[in-house]
Amino acid sequence: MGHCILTVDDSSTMRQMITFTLKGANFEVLEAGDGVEALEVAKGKKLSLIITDVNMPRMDGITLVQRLRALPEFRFTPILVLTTESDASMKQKGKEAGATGWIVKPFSPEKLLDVVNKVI
Amino acid sequence: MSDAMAQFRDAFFEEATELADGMEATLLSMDLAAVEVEDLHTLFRAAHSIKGNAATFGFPAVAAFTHQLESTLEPVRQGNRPLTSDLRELLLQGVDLIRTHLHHARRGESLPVKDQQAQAALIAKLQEDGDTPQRATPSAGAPNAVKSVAMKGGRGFSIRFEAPLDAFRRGVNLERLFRDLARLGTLQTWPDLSRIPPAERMDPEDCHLAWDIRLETAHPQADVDEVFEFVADGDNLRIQPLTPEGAVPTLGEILQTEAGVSPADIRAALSQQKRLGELLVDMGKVQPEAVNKALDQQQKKRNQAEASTVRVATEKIDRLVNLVGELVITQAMLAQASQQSNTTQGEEHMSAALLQLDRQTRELQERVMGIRMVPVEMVFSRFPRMVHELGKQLGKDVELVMEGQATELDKTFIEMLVDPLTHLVRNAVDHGMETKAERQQSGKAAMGTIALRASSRGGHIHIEVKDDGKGLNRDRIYQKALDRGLIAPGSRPSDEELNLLIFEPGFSTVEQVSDLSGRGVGMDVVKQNVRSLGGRIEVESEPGRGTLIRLVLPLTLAILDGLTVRAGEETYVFPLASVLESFQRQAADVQTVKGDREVISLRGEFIPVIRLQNLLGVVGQREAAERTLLVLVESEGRRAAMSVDELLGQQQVVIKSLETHYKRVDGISGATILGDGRVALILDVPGLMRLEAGATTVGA
Repeated sequence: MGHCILTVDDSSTMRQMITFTLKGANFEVLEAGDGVEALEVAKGKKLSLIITDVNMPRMDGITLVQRLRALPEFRFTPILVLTTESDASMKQKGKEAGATGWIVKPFSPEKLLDVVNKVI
Repeated sequence: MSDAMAQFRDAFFEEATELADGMEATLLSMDLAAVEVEDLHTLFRAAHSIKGNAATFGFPAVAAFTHQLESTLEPVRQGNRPLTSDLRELLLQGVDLIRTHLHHARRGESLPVKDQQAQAALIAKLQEDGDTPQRATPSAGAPNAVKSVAMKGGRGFSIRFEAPLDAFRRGVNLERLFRDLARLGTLQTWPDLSRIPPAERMDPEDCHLAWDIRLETAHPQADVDEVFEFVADGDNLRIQPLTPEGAVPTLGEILQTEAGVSPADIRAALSQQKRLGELLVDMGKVQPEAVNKALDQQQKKRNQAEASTVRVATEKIDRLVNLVGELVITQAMLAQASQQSNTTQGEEHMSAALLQLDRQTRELQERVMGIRMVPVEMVFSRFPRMVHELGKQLGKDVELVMEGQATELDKTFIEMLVDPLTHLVRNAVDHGMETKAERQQSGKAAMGTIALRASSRGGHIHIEVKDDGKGLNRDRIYQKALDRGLIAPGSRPSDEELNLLIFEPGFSTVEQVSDLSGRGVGMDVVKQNVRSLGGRIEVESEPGRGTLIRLVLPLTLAILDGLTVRAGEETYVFPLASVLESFQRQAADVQTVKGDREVISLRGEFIPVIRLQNLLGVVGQREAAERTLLVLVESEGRRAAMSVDELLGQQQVVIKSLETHYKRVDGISGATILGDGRVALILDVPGLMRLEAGATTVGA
């Protein structure tokens, strides 16, 4: 049974890297460039996981998490935020907003899959 | 290895102590005006290592506190916070607290309340003084908040996990978590439903679940921490190592695995237990003071037990094991050779094997002695801190220079040297060193220097304490010695003899006794301890230039280089260290003065002659004394010529205490067993000189 994952990042290189890695592991992948686009893409979809960057134009990742949690279909969906090592407080903020966990940048493809496997 | 984990723990404590010592040394050596970035990194790394290792080995309180120091050091290392002299003091206090932590953790105790308060105060100061970054600060007992250093783990972990209330709402997959945990090893879980509130107050989206988990695994704690990464939240997770393999498990652990008693029930039962002291006090059988006293006593015993261990490099032990292996082979060779002993070949084999045995025995002896040798740094390392603090207290600028810390000394010496060296260094700062103003007046650099040097010289260890202060005041020493009756009126002692008087009991020339030293006790302790180690003290002092005090010590207590002599029918051993030379004279060259004292003239100097045969009451007829054989000895700046009947040779002897086997005898420092199995007494040269001065005879 295939899992569908939504990856949200304003950096296309980062999106490509994530998509490439996840597809290589037989996940179905959707992409969005910011929070607003993510909400549109997610609408009506059955998602197993959402991975989102924090700093993005139009709608940041933290707001996105809060908005997703307010939607009945995504109340219990695992959400991971991409954060940087130096930004330890972001983990806490993400948690408070309702994120399941985080992936610390920079990360290797193996690390990404490790964390994904931890939550789905 | 049955108690592997316990051994790792010992190693942890050793290493952590060394790291703390290193932090202190670095802090003290830093020039605040020109801070080396590398030093800051060193400090940070040390704190980081202690923290990581403490967490790994299950000392969360140590880890939590060191984490604070690390967080303080982080902005300093990044150049965002200056290292002020105040901050340095706080960090030094922090190092002390790490030591206190380690001290208690080693005994499996928690930090005493007064130290906890000191810790809280220190942390508050560290944070208020700078903008300590808003990092998650782990509270004691929350090892999860501290990232563990990956390390080979023990037998596994006992885990208490309370799921966060919002676990479901955050999409946390608890099933997944347990699956990941099970992947690490064998898992046993006891769900704890006691946190679930009554139905009317329950929000079904809240997670009230908790588990007690027993995980048998060889994985390090870091791997377990990682499983809980997204759900650990301050104090909802406790991970403790299981009792190490081979060690006796606690009753609770056995009941858990065998009888299925839940950890929660065990905790509840344990909390009802009281300590023996409390129970006895409750029963009215003993006063609380008596319990405290008994606890103190127990503590002392523990400390003693701890001090009597030696840390030995594995390399030294490996070499010993190899040597023993070689000995076994030699023994086999000897056994074989002895069976064919009547053939030429057998004899050849025998002598080859004996030669080999000789070499191996000697090497074995050296190596075994080597085990007791520890670097003198173990005593030296306390002085930078002491000098720093003394200088501050006395308003003197003092720099401590240390050399030769790697010089190795017998462990017993190290212990016996702590007090003497402490006194000498204190004296140097307190009395030897002038105040800043005085120094500038006499045209000296405001900063005084105290040098602490250790070196190994021809079978002796020299330890020197040298200051560039005002030097000894010989007139004052002379006057004082006269007042105290230490010298006879009108006598003219040499400079050297005069200098040495400062080590006499009750001697102190300071008019105003300061807090720190100069109570007249102490310097005689130096003399006592050094003498009991078979060493001597030398003093060089130049007015206005400073004082050098040198402790000359033998390499080890257990073995002595000796000169064996015969007096009458007895064999005696002179410690080679006190022998200057031996020579023969015509009996007529010995002159009698003052009625019965004998002297001999040697290179224009008159030296008292001591007749060992008479002094020790030796049995056996004196040979027709046409020529006299004399051994010139020196001790504490005095010389004497000891007359003996024959010089037998130089050899190393193993010292056996006479006191433990018989009783103390004046003039004799110990005994040894000679190659032919006979016992020879080892002479105590200064003791003999005193005996001669008192003109009493021992023994017989």
